Amino acid sequence: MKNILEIDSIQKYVNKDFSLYDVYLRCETGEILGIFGRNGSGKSLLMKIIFGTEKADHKFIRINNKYINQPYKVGDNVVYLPQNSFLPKKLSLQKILKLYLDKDCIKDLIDDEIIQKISASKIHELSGGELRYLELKLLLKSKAKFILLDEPLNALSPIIKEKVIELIISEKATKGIIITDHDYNNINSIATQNYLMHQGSLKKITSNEDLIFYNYLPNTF
Amino acid sequence: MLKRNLKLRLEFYKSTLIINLIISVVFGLLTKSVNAFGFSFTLIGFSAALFYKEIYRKHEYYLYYNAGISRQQLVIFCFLLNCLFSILVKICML
Repeated sequence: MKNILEIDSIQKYVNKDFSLYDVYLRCETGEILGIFGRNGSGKSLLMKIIFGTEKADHKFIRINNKYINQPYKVGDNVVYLPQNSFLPKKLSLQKILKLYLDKDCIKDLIDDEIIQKISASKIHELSGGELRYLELKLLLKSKAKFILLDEPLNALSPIIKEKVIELIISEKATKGIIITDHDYNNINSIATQNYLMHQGSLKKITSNEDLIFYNYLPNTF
Repeated sequence: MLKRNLKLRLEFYKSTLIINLIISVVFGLLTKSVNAFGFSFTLIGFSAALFYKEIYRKHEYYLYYNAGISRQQLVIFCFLLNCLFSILVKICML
């Protein structure tokens, strides 16, 4: 089934120098939207507003033509991978899996080289890359219709990065995915549409020249 | 879904217990009052546990958000369990 997430008219005053405005996004099942932007440009803020944990002065979010104020509270709509790890350090991986997933989903999730290697570990024993991979896989294997990923490739080794990208592509068929990251090359290679957060609003990007024009990429790129 | 929701709420509750119990037992012993213990367990110790989470474990709330549980729902659930526990302690001490 094809699901549609529409985000429109988002306005959020942050301070006298920065506010979000004029944000429109539409994401369907099977699409990967890449959002780029400089540090502090409001990418994470936008993700949290879409997810529903951050208030906005004005927002209009629809999933399958139904208005939803806080999407995370309603059914299996949206999940969000924040920049910082969200798994409690004291819990074991097994405990997390039992808390979070059905038996079928657990089988699917642990059928993986990296996860099997860490399956007997506690969360605080995992490396940054392993932890990020686990969190990402937990969310991608959830039943959510849309996945919001906030810098999923940050600080990952090239091998894990490649695995993460494979994972995202493999889940694309059944979900809509919105990603923010600074890894332009990798995200650009998997995204179906790209956007740039520039001075508080979203600009659609169709080529590298657009990113150079908005001073996101250097002229030498 | 409901079972997962309840399990996650109980996990959150467990994560507030250590700080809450330490503060409330100390408060109860200092005042030598079961009522004081109950009051602290329901409000003071519990608030301290939430404050600790707010400062040092804020990002862990996303574990619950991603399961559709809001912060408000977690706090209300824990508050009600704490009330129930305090009443049971009070009854047992009568």
